[in-house]
Amino acid sequence: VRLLVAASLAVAVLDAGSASPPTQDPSSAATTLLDQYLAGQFEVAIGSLSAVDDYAELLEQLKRDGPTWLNGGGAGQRERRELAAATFALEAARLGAWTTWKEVGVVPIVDPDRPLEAAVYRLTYWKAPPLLIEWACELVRQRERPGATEHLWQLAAVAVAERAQDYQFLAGDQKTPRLNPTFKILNDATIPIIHLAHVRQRFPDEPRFKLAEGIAEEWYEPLLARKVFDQLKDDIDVGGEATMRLGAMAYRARDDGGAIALFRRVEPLTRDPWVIHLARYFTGLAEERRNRPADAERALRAALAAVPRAESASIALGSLLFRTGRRAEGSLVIESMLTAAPKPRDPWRTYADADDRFWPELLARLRKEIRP
Amino acid sequence: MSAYRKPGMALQVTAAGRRVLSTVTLVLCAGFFDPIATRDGAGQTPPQAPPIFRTTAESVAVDVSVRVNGSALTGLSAADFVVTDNRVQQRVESVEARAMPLDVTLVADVSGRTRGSWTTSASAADNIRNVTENVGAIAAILRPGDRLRLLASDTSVQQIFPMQAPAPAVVARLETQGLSSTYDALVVAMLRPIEANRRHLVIAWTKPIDTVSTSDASTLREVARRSDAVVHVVERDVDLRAGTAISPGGTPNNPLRMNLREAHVRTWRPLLRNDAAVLPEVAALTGGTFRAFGGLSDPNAAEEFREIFEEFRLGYVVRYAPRDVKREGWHEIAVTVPKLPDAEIRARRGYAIESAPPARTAPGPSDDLSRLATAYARGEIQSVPAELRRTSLPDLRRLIETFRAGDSDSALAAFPKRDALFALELIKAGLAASDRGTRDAALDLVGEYVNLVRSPLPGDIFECGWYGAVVAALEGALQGSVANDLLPRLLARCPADGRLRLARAFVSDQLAQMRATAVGTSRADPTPAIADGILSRYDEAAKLPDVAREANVRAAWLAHRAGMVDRAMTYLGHIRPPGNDRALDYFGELVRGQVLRARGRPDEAIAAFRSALAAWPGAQSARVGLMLLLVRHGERREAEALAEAVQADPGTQIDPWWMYWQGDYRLLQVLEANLRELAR
Repeated sequence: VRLLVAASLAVAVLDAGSASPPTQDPSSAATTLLDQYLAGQFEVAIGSLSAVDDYAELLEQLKRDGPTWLNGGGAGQRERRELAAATFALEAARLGAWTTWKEVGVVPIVDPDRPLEAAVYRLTYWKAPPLLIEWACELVRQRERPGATEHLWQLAAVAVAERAQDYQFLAGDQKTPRLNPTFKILNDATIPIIHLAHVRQRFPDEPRFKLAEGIAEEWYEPLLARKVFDQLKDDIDVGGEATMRLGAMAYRARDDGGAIALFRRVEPLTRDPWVIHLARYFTGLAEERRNRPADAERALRAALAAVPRAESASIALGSLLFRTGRRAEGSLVIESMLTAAPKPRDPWRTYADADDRFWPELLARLRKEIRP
Repeated sequence: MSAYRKPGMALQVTAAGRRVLSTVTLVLCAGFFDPIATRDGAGQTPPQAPPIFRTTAESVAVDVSVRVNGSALTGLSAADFVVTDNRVQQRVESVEARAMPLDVTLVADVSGRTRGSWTTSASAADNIRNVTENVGAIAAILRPGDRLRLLASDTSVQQIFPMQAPAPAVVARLETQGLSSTYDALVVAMLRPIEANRRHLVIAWTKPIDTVSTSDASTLREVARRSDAVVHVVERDVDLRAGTAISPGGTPNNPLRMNLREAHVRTWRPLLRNDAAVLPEVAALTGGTFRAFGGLSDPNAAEEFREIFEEFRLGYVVRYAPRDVKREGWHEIAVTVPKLPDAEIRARRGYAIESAPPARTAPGPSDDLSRLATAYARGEIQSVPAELRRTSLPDLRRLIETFRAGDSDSALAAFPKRDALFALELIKAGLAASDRGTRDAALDLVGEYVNLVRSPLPGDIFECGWYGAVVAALEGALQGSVANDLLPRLLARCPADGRLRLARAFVSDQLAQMRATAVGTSRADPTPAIADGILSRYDEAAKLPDVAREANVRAAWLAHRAGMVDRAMTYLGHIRPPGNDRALDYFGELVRGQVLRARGRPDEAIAAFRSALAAWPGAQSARVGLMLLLVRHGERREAEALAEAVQADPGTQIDPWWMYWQGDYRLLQVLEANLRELAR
């Protein structure tokens, strides 16, 4: 793996030789990629990472050579370089989310003071992608007052973390017992990150970061998640999504009537097709469970009006039609879904990815800020 | 042409002598599953209660496999089979060998490793190679006339290639995201309609675990029960422990010196269905087989495929015409061969004939709205404003209220920007209405959409542009108080938006003017104290380059009206040379003329009025202003000519000054055009 990383980065250096301006201290492949990124050659720099399957080497290079590179353009360039480095690291982390994000170890530990109370602890060993985000996060949050660009970057970082589907990275692990600090077995990689804690410290009023706490806990600490969503259900910006998620939780708890009542409240709060689709889709499933096929059909058709040809709603509707005697119509719905090009992102299957749906727009805006 | 046909139970009309069989089959297969369609088919009508099959009008075909001592048995005839339909014995009309061409759907689980036991860790390249090999193996077994399609099952169900002639196919791309859509993939496979004289065979190479499907086990069983396909399931071993490694070493505080580590990548698993019974049941319900098997690319995979095909082809198609059973509903079938009591007989367990679907509901009151919204969603923008203008007031109000209530079928749901533009069309039309109820409905819509148009991300160009457009519409409808209430919120969202900043000042100006007019003063001029507060807002706007000119023009006119002539002159001095807004150029010169006249500088005022006329030839306000000055200046001939021109004007010439108090309304078309471009 290391060889592969080194080879990929070496290719990047060779590629960059003619394409990018010389740096003051081209001490590593990572700084060459940063030069490309800063010069607006985003695809070249990110394309070089596509063959990497372990980002530890990249992280090490950024940690080692990043500080020098950040000062390479003088004080006038410092802020733009910070944003470029942080956004580059974020893109790398997003690519790397498909490699190992973390390892969770199960460790039996005996407390010397209580030797009879041996316990099994889970330890988290963060791999490079989450640590790349944290390295970048420290860069962007060094200013005394958080600004619009940092806000944008943090929104993008949360989107990447949500796509990685790691509640522990975002919100910590409420269930795992904390290790007694006298056990000197922790290394850097096992320290809880809790990314949202420092994001919230910088932007305490941003409802999307509050919502992210609920999203992180939704499948792990449902009571906590419900509390967060409940607090946000009337929020002008995220109230629609918070209400939809409350409804989804009620649906999962088989409270179909309660879920449907919540889903009805979603549309006056948002025009986000992703959220509206999910509210309608879950309504369809809940109505079907209540043995109301006509209402289920109406809701599923409405879901497909919000996100045409979406996979889950298409299969649910096609199957419902098939089972209620409209076989040809049902199969047409399925065929239409199968042949969609491009295939739309299915809101149910990306339910946990949450803000990742904003990633293209967020990245475009960050790159616009970086572009010379 | 394709129609539904049930190989296991195809219902056919033997309309002897009237049509060739294939035609009749096509017509009646559709009718079998959709009673409505049969009304126009071969002269059938829905049966009267109690509905009983007519004896010779329809027939059912059942795929049957007979095995003795593990081998397929051939050579049986109609007399050998006994078939019951809802426990009523039927007369078998014919037995045929299953020589019909096959449509094969291969469902390949690519959510993890595709070789050996299924595990969560997978190499995309390995999966592509393995699946390609197996597609090749199946293609080699199929015969000319058979067809093959490939569905890959992962987080999503992907159709890698549609039903096509069997040929070695290279699978170029497989998405592997790690969740399991086992149930959905089978539902999708089984919902495929079957063409006449073909059989549909589904071979599912999958595992019993499902983590994300919208279909649950009961749905899957129900679809299997009603499907035309014969499903063979080859279940793969699952090794959920893969990915966990034991690391040696441990720590000083770890007396067992052991550390079990598990790799985590995208850990969300919304569901965990692991029903060992469901896949065998699906196979049995469709008359297929269930086998436990290793990996997709095990060495004997091709042999396994071959066995499935051979067995299928060595089976029979048993036909009978249902007698003495109720037509609609579930029909349980049992097939036996009495002379072979120990034979293993596989056939589907039944079939269903559905009742007529419920009649479609009559068109509702929201149809007009749906039609307009659909047109708008399609990009047919121009027709909508014209149609709204022609709409009667009660209807317009109803349209707005229906839109506010939400139309779940609206095609605009997928296009939030077009939805916001459509709302703007309704707002404009409503604000222009003469009755208060419609105007109030439009204002309610403004209040609602100011929230709904908010982008999830800050500083969105479309959102800010939409605010600018709706404020322009409010200014045009002299709804300054509504705009005034909204603007602080809008500016908090779009602090750098010059037009909104200018609107904050203008709307205060407009309100002061309207209040003064309302109390009946002879001159609707603000006091200096009131003007001072508004001028500070114009000063703020003048700091923004894109609206600085207009801010200074409007500030000059306000200062002039408040009797602050020096301050007015200062603002005039800040006005930059003409730009590309002719109306604004005209305003500037007209205001300059008035201020200079008040300042007692008639020559310069005359020059300003002439410039105003150059900017907007024939404009009445500039003509009158110039005429009055010329009269005082003694230039009566030119003044008389201007007076005659004013009187002779047919009224077709628009004077932009008439729209001065409507603020940005004059720019609304441009603002909307920009928004449409963003919504494209």
